[in-house]
Amino acid sequence: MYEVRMPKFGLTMETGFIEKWFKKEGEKVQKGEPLLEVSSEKITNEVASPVSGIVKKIIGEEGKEYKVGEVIALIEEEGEKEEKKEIAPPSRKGEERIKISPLARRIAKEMNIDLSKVKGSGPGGRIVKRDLLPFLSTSTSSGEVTIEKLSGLRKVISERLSKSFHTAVTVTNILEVDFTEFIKKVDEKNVSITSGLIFVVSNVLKKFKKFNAHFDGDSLKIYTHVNIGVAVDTEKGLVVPVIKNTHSLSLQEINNKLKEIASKARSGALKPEEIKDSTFTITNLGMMATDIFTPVINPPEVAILGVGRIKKGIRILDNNTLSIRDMGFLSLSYDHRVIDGADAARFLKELENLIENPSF
Amino acid sequence: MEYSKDFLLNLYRTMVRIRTFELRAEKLFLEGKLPGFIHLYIGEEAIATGVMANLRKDDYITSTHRGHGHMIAKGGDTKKMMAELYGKVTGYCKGKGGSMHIASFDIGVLGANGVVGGGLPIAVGAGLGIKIKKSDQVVVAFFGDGASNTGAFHESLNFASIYKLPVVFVNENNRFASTARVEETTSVENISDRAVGYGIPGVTVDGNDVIAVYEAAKEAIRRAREGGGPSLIEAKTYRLKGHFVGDPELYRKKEEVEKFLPKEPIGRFEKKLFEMKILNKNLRDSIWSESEREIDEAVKFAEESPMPKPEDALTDLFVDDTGYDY
Amino acid sequence: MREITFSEALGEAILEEMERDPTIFTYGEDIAKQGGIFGAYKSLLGKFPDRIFDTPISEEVIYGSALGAALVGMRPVVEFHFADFLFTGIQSITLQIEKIRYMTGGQGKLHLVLRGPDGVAQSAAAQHSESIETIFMHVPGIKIIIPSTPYDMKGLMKTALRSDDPVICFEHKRLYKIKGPVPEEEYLIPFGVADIKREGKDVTVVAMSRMVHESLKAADELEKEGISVEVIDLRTLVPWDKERVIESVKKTNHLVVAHETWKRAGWGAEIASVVQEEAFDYLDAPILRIGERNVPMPFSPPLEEFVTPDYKDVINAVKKVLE
Repeated sequence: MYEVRMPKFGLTMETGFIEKWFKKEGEKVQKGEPLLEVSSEKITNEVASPVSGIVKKIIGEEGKEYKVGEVIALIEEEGEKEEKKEIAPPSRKGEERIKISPLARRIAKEMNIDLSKVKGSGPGGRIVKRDLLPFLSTSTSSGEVTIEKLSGLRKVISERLSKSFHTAVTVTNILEVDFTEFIKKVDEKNVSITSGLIFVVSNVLKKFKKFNAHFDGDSLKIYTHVNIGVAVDTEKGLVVPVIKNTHSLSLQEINNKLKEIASKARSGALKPEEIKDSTFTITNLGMMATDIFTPVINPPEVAILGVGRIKKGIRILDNNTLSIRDMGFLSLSYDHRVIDGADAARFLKELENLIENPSF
Repeated sequence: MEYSKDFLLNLYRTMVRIRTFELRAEKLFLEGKLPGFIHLYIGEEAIATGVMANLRKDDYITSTHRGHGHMIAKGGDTKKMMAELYGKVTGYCKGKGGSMHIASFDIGVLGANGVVGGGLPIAVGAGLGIKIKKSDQVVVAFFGDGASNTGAFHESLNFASIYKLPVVFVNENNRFASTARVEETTSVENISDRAVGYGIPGVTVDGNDVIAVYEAAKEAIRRAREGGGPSLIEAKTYRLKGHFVGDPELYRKKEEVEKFLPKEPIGRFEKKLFEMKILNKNLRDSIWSESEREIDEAVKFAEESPMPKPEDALTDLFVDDTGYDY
Repeated sequence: MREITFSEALGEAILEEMERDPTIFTYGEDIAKQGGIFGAYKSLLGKFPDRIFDTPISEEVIYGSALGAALVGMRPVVEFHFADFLFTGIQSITLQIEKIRYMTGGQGKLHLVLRGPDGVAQSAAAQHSESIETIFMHVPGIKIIIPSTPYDMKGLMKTALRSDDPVICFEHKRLYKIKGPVPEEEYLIPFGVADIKREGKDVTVVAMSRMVHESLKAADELEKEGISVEVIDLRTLVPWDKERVIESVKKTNHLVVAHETWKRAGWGAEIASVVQEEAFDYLDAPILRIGERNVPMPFSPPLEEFVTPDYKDVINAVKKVLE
């Protein structure tokens, strides 16, 4: 009997909702055929049947939430026994031992990879390091997930924001910055302000590593790569597509990427892997009538940078003369459980320096 | 041969010291104070004493598992010896060797050895080294009748002979190799007969006559020192005690031992010295009680000394133990 | 840099040290007139006539006398004719040389070197072909050096001749004729420092002696298939460079240990055991060992080849470990 389990679509997914079953008990199903629809976080995905056979029992109910890895259906297979053994069942109840190399076990533990999702390719079905590589980058195992339009699950979104608001100790530091030179430079290079901000923020995050991290209440995972989530306002609501590895991209590359995902976001063409694994988020309300605000941190990140409206303002220069400059506020929200006010101040100072004396 | 009074008294004194030490060691062992096991030299004192009286401090000896007598005769400190028997850190070997491996390279004692015949190749090597560096030191290799049947014995005599090494092989034939009688295990009646097989001089002496031993050793040692090569001296004696303390001695009868008692070396020499009027009762008693006092101090020193720290077991293996995993 | 043979490097080391240190002398069977059965002493023939001589066939006293000579202040270099014959005089080594310093509480400096040929060589059969270094790793009290190149041979032997501890040196018969670069200037190689003979990133292969060359040959073949092998030559077995090996395993996550001596309970088992103990979480596969099959060395060539490990065995082990 094949056990269909709630799949995991991303590193942080813990539960999923069964939106709809496409097959009934007793119906035949082919491997690869859509079996059910599952939604989580911001996306809905069709789940294809991993085996061919007859749907023996539907355990998960539509509209209900189940933990990743929980059995939600049973399929009686058409006598292909090896397939069952390919996907090693998890030893959650200690029934069967997972064969895994010491190295792979350590990596899985450190990276929080659910081993029930991992196929072992070593001798005897042993899980080895290469089997975990797909889970270390950001893609899920391909083939099971199909791209769907973005259907907003407001409930989940609100639950996540609520969780962030209530578990993180969110404090916002605000700094007024002179964007005059910065704007000159981005115009010269023919890139957007947001692109320029992504570029300099990535630089700052290389130095202020603690801000480029995930916190689960227990341990702080500090990342060496920088993935910037960029809040985009769409018809269907707020979407945060992610530009990966901005620490190693050039300004031009960032600009191109940003244009691409922003347009995809608005047309609902974003892939699931494009909206996850951000290590830091930037939300730019500069086009709107907002100077200062207190953005909510995007969990499990530990900080988020809000950029307000840039407008003409007066700046008093070093020689006590007045100057009309393009001024704007940076609102940096951070999780005070892991970041102190002084850290945040230093972060902003560095950012201010790179904005006011742009060198790109 | 005329010998001075002092010389003769020193021979006597040495034998008494050895006897006292051994009797005390036996007593302590039976009281449970000494770990491991000990092999007593009682009844054989004349051999070590007679031979060593010919040696310089910078000459070498290799000894056997029955080595306390050799050590004392060569100038060993009874305090450090007793401490080693107790397993204390102040012993000659810091408690790492015990009775069977007691050694002091400083006074030329290249070690007692727990392997029968084990000291012979080492003595030969010492002789080889001495020859190459062109020194006039000599090596005396003590070994028992049991060892005379080992491969090491035959290889060593041959080797020493072909290179004319300055080694004197002193065979202490005490008639027993553990429980085996020499007549049953050895193909010749006189072990010294084997010398001929190796082209070296061999003599048999009464091992319980300290002067006889002294004179035979004097000749052999002179020959070695002058580059004349090795010799074999068989000193016939009798092992009065068991192989080790606690040996039930099922291989011989008490009557046999009693028969050999009157022939033991100290009594015989004492009688001679009394006849020569060199010894009288007072002097005799004072020599013995002086010995007892020396051993008392040795025991006191040993008992008051600390045991080695357990971690000390991981030291003294190499001069340089970088990278070694213990 | 000039290239000389392994055998010449050995001879140079001994000659240079004998010139430097008058307490060094050397003896063994068939060396003074013939220069050793594998020619190791050719360069010494005629020099220092009173410091190099032949002995009768008396292993117990040959090895035991080295101990005695060291105790009176000399530095003997004793050749064992074939490593197999160490067993003939084993008492002198395992019961005496390895024990004397410790048993006497650290009293003596046993500066002596036992050296000679070992290993398989053209149907020399069971009593003239074995490698038995594991025994001397197991019984504590002697250091072990096993060079694989002329450069290592000279450097290690010079260090051995200046060491105050007993050293045993195994020289594989098939390596005597190989040539390699050896500097003219003096150099010493310390014990306990492994040499990365080839860098790689997929698998670590630890080897010594002839198996180093087999492993390098295997690595060349494997590179064509895109597998990158790191070959570590331990050079000395006691002490051995644990840190280097573990550092490498942390990088490659895979380990194969290759030696010519029998696989069962060979020193490879010790290396494997220590690595799995100290780098367990870095291993992506079990550790494999390569060694001679567990039989005495047979005479006939096809039999001898079958039981003796070579580069093909290394290739198979590497592939198995990466499965």
